[in-house]
Amino acid sequence: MKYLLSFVFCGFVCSLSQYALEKTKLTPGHINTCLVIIGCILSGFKIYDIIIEKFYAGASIPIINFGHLLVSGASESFDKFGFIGLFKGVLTNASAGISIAVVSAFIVTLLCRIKN
Amino acid sequence: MTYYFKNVYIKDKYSLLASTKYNPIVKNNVNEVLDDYYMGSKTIEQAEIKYQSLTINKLLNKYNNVNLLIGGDLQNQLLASTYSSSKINIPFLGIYSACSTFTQGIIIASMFSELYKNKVIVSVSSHNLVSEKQFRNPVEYGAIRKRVNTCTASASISTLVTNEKTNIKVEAATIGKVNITNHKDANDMGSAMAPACANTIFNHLKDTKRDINYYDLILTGDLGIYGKEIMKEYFKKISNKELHNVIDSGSIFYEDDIVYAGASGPCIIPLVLFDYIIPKKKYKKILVVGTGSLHSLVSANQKLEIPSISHAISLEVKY
Repeated sequence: MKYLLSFVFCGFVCSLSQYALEKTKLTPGHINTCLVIIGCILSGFKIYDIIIEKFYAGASIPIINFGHLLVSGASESFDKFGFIGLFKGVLTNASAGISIAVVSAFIVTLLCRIKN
Repeated sequence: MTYYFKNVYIKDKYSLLASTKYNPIVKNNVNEVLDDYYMGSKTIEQAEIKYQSLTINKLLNKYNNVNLLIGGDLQNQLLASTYSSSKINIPFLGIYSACSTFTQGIIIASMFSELYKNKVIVSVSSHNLVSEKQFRNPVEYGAIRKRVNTCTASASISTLVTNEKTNIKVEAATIGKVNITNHKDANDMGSAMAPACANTIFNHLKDTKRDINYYDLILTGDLGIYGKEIMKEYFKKISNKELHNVIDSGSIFYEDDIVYAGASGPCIIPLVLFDYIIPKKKYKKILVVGTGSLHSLVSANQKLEIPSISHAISLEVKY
């Protein structure tokens, strides 16, 4: 059941994004940003925590979770350091994702060339 | 604005097709097929420089005393043309008119040839991956392409314009005006260019007092399958006449069924003209109407209307 729920939620997010990509003038960059902002808003209202509880990895894998990590990191740090914590902690939880993205982009750029 | 030429001919051409993707219709008639996006270069921009250098050099090896080189391409600051001309010792004029660069080049070359009896090479090139980066999104960005998108051909062609009598005569030329409609979608350049094309055909026929049937063929540039229909409709609106003898080079360029509107790029018109239409030996009086969409990445990002232009040259071909 866990796997099924994960698959359903992740698939729902991906299919919505694919629909927006094909039927609107939005580019992948726009959709990426929209999803992160939606994640931030949901996380801000503590809704995303509930979604993760219900849908497990299905909610923590898509880019929408990145918004949640930014907000949760900032709010945790705010509790610890006060106002400056908003800036200190915003990338803490998302650090793994960002680092892997940078390193893998570097490796792919080294290895691959543009094709049609 | 129409000019007549008494003694201007196209003597020779060297065409290079750098990709056979989607099965281009001119594949068997071009001088050289490479099917290589890089040609040993590190980047795609440098590969396009090589394409253009190759076609220019092939013509220069055959003909001496060329007075002028007119070159154009789709890169910023005409990178491909300027670098390829830097390797040869001939005065150079770089021109930009997007996909109507070829017709613009032929018009300028014809003027030099008529007035000063010069031998002029007109060279154009385009590279699919470079154009995607230049006008829309880089291919690696992974943006979904629309049905109205055209697919830029990777090719280069150089032609020699002289006073020596040959079977292809440049008889007249009409310089078009920049046309702006309310069209803003950089993915759909065919629709943006269609009114400019119809206006230039209309003005050409008006200036020369000719009927549409005077021409065996009106060969348009890269309007694509949707742009071509819009152009015909627009022409009917301004002139009350049907255009029936039109072939759009971009629409017929790819033989494979593709989901896009057709081919585009400054090379499409000359490739289809010299390597498909003329070898058919069917059409004698041809009006070649190049169409160019003059937007840039900046204008598209600032949501400006797309300016477009169209230049026409009238050719008389003897078989």
